[in-house]
Amino acid sequence: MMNWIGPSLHECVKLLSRIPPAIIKVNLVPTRTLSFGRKYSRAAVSGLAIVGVTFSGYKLHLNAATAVLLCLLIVVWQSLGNGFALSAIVSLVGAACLDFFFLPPLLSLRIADPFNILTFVVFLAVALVITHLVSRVRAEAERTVRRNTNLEQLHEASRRLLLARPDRISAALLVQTFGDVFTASAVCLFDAETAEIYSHGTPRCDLAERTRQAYFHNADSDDLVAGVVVRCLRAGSALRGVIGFEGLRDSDRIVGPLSVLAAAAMEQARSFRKSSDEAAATQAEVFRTAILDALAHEFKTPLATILAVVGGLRESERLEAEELEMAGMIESETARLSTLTARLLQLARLDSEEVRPRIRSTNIPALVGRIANRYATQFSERRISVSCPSLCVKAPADRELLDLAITQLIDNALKYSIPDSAVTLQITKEAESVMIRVRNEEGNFIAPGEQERIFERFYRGTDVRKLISGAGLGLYVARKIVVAHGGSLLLDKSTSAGTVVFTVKLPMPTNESDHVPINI
Amino acid sequence: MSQSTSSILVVDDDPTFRQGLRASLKTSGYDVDVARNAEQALEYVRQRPVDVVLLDINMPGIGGVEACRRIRAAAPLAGILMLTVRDAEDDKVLALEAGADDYVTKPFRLRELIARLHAVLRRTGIEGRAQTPVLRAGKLGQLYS
Repeated sequence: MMNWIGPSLHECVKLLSRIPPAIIKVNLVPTRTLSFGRKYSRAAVSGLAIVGVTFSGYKLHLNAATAVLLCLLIVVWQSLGNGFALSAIVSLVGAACLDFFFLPPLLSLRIADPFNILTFVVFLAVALVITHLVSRVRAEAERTVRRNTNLEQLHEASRRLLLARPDRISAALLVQTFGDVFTASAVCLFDAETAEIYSHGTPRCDLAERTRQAYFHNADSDDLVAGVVVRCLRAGSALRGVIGFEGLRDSDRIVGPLSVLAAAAMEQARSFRKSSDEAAATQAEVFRTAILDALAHEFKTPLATILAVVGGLRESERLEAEELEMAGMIESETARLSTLTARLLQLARLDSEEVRPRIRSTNIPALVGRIANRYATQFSERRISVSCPSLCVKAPADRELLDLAITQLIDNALKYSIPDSAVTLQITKEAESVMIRVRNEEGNFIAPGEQERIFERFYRGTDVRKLISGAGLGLYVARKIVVAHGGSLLLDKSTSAGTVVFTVKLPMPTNESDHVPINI
Repeated sequence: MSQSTSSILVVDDDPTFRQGLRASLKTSGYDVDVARNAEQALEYVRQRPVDVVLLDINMPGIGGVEACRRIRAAAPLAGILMLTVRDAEDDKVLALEAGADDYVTKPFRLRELIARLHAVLRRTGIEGRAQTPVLRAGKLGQLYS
């Protein structure tokens, strides 16, 4: 009988645990993933080594314990490179060799002594346990290395995106970065903002279409057979796009963080563009105000000079009748230009500022009548009429601002109708409101789709924008003024025959008959 | 003409406007001088009497409102009429509080300016003094003059 004098199972495990981590790390790093052939070669070498060691031990009359330890060492070396199955086979070979060469009867696979059977079983168990443990450690090390690689790649991708200027971050840059940093045969990104697909690499499984479909179905998809993973990119509940990978290594672990990184980068770029647009708009507003102020001064002073000089000519009493008439024309036209300039500046100012009406009790028919008279004098060929059931309809209003709003409506009525057509201003009292209707005949038809848009800032009707000059501010400012009075300005009617009616509705408290101390 | 004795000082940094208004007011019978900025205007009013100062607001150096305050201090009897492109209510209030008698926004018709000049001259009593001979009789005459 041969007594087992080698280390116990517990000691074997302890021995293994004493191997420095650095060695384990170096040996376990699966950077050299063994190919199919190399795996079997290693197993064969291990098997042969065990046969050789046990045979030599037998010939050299080595201690059985030494032979056991040498066999265990070969089993451990084999386990480091192969999986559990091959390592288990090598362990069995080792047990068989030990039995053959060291356990009586020698040179036979039979075991006579029951205690040696126990020794044999213990060796086999130790070898298998070690194999199992080493395989687990190896698998864990592989996972750690993969995790580290993934982390490094994620870090690299994040670093590149963080270092990129925010205005440069785009869907194209994202796929380029992911394609460069991660091991994948193809990357596709569908950008919801532009509805475009950006690709990197050479997809084989119609990755672009799968990515697009995922966006339309708002759902992630995995095709393990084709090696395709597709993820939706969300910011909150909003779907910003979809990213798809083909042949992405370790996709089950990496695709989640990657899609989060892509969504964050896209959201950051979107926020930057938005804030840039807002900053640009603010800057444009500052420039616009500065230009308007400059224009106000630069236009008004020469006009004032012309008016002063032509007034002086008329006052000189040295002009003939015809010259006097011509000087009068210069003066009146310059005055008209002054009024137009002042109105344009006022419109521009009201466009950019909050309208704060200085409310006073205002006789609406008198105000509308004055404006109509002004136009009747200026456009003597036009038929401008005012109809009002009562001569005194008072409402709380800022006279100057309301004058500007009504003027704008009359201006439009004259501008967008044929020269000899009629323009009618009608004032009525309805419930607790004053209605001012500006109606023109034979004007431009306003299509239903444009009837609300004509009140938008800078919007001009498609039919007229090339034919009639304008800035697209008049109706916008007119409505702004009326709304600041607590009223409304609507397009009431636009027929194909050219009848267009705009209605201003102003609130009129029941006690408005005499005075109106209302502040809006 | 009644206003032939009224002296006007036009203060404006725009030379064309300055000269144009000077010519027109001269045609209308006023005695007109010009100054291109507030400093020149202050020097002018300290050296000789002026009936009305037509004062711009937007000027380099001392602005129109501050100039108005200083001219009012230097020549309390002179009328001051602001002539400016600024039409905001705040500007008008500031100028009137600084001592201006009236406020006209550019562009304006000459007729309107002359009418307002008359009004300022009337209010300051200068027009009346020019038209009405003063009867001087001891302390009573001194009092009315």
